[in-house]
Order: sequence, then structure tokens, then C-alpha cells
Amino acid sequence: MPLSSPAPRKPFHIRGINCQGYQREDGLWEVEGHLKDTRGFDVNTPWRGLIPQGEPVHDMWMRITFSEDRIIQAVEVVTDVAPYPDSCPHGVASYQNLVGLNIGAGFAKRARERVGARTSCTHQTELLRVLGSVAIQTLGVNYTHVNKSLGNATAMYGDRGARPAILESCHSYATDNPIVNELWPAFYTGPKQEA
Amino acid sequence: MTLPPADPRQPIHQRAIICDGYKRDDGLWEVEGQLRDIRGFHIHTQWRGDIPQGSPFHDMLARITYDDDLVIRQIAVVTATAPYPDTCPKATDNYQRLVGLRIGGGFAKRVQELVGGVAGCAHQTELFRVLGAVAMQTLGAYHTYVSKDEGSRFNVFSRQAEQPMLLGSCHAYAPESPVVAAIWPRHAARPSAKD
Repeated sequence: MPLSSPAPRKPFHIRGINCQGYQREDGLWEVEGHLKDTRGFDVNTPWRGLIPQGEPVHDMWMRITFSEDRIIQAVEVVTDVAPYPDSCPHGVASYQNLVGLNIGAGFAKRARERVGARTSCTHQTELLRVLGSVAIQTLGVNYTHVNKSLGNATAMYGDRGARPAILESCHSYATDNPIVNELWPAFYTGPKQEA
Repeated sequence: MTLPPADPRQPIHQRAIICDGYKRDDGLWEVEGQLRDIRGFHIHTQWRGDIPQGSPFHDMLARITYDDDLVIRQIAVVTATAPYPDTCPKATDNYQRLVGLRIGGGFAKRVQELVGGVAGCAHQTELFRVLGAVAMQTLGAYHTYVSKDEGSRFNVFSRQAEQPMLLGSCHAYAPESPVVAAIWPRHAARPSAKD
């Protein structure tokens, strides 16, 4: 089901973010993202010259390699297209400070502290935030549908009786939601359903 | 150019976010986004049955209509595909709480307070965070390159601004950057030769 038909309007700015999560053959995990912004009109700037409608104004890539316990092992950052070609690509060295950081609760905030505002790129940092979610989801998908015997799944989904970390993270995982009664009945707090 | 070649790996999870920013004919602004997740393999769940590789696991749509002051006037949210079809879509009405909220500094935090946790959907909320950035960029793109309004705080190249909104926000806009010397000479850490 789509959204309702829009009122008459003209596009000015288009952002596309594509992220993939992988399991590597060496046992490490990887998320890779691409952020691309285009404009709905021709842009002319002293730094870039003419940028025709539909050509990227931002085009950025990031790869984060992390271990099973969600510690960042390696970071690669590439700024292909940016508004200030002589300056923006020099603002990515700080992302190496992310190595050693744990991807989990508070990741976006801790990551921003590590890269610093004036030593980073706003758009690369936005891509990084989305990659943090995709990293958690990639591990979650694996625990749920591929390798259900991994120990860390206990922490995320509580399938050994521990309180699942994902509990109360959204409407469907509220402790009084029928989904919780089906997945983790020990933590269900809603009305009992007839068997 | 892109990232360097990757080590051998298997795709697990893929997230795509697309957001468009518009100027409406009635003078209001609009950002519209779609978040889609697909898995790298065929899965089966008791709530959804078979989900072939490439079919969406999450498919979420949202539209924010806002005014010149970045105040949200209208919200439309559709949860087209979700893991728990009987419960996830029930969280979407709560996003009406965002009407009246101002997009800008602290927006992601306020969104989390209003629709985070059991009040919302983790994936819709992520889409709203990206839409917040795109809402700002849409006004920036318009006033910097189309209206070129010297009095607008969204015109990056305006020389009238007492305190340029983006000053200090990233590497290129750090006070010691040559970009700042060129576009906001009054705010450069070292005055440019012209001054």
C-alpha cells in the first residue's frame, strides 16, 4: 500500500542510502554502505562548476568490518563526490578512530564523539549511523534464520531463558504484545489468552 | 571509484533508504521516504510464511509536510511490509505525535522520546531520522541554489548571516578551513588575504 497521492510539488533534493551486511569467509562480519545525493535542478558552484540535474552532489562509501562480539576491526571510507573536492575528502581520516568501538546501544553518539564534528563529514557520519543498525540486523538475521546455535543469540533474542535485549524496543516487542507471548512467554505481561 | 575489493563473503541483509525533498505548489515543503530491507536468502516465519530471497522483509513509507520554519504540519506513515503483519502496522498512528515538532538540532532525540521504544517501529523511526536530515538539505538546496535569498539562514553562501548555521559542523566548515575563508571570511580562524 503506497502513501496517498501527493499535492502538486517539485523535487529539489534526493538522497539514496544502500547498505549490505555480509558474513565473511574468515568469520568476521561486514557492513558496506553507499550514500548518494542528487538535486532536482542544475547546480553551479565555484568549487565544482556545473553539476547537471541528477548528477551526484554527494557520493560516499563506507565499509565496517566487525567481530562476532560487535567490536569494529577495520573501517574503510571513500568520498568520491563532495561539494568541496579539495577539502571534504581530507575529513575522513578520523573514522579510523572507530576501530575498537562496540556497535550496540549508544553507538551513534559514541561514534560521533570519536570522529569529532570538525574532523569529519556530516554525510559519512549519517551513513555510519545507518550502518550501525544494519550491523545489528545482520547479526540478528543470522541468529534467527541461519545459525540458530550461536551463543550471542542468547543476548539478543533470549532463546535460553535470559531477558532478550530486543524486548521493549518497539510496539511488537512490548511485553504486553501477543508476539512476546509467542516468542518469550516468560516475559509476557499482557492478558492471558485462551489456549 | 568505490571501496577497494572485498574479501570473500556472503550477503545476509540489505537495507535501502530513498528520500526525496520537495517544494509544494502551496508553499509548504515535503520529504518522502521509503525504507526497504531484504534478506540474502529465502526465509520462512510463522507470521509471514515464505519470504523468497529478494522479497521485502521490511517496507516502510513516510511523508513529512513542513513549513519554512521546519515545523511539521502533517505526517503520513504506511507500514506496507513488516515481520508481524497483525501488530507492527498498529504503531504507525503514534507518528502523528510528531506534528508540531521542529526539525533541526535535537530532532532525532525528540523523535526517540515521542515514538521510540514500544510507542513506535524501530525501522520507521530510523526512516524519520534520515528524513529529518533530508528536510534540512532540501531547504538548503533551495535557498542556496534557487532562491539565493541572502536573508535565509538556509542559504549556505549568504554573507549576511551573523552565525552561519553550518559553521563548525564538519571538516570543510571548520573555522580554519579554506572553504570558510572563501565563503564566510568574517568567521575564518585566520583572516583571508582579501580581508
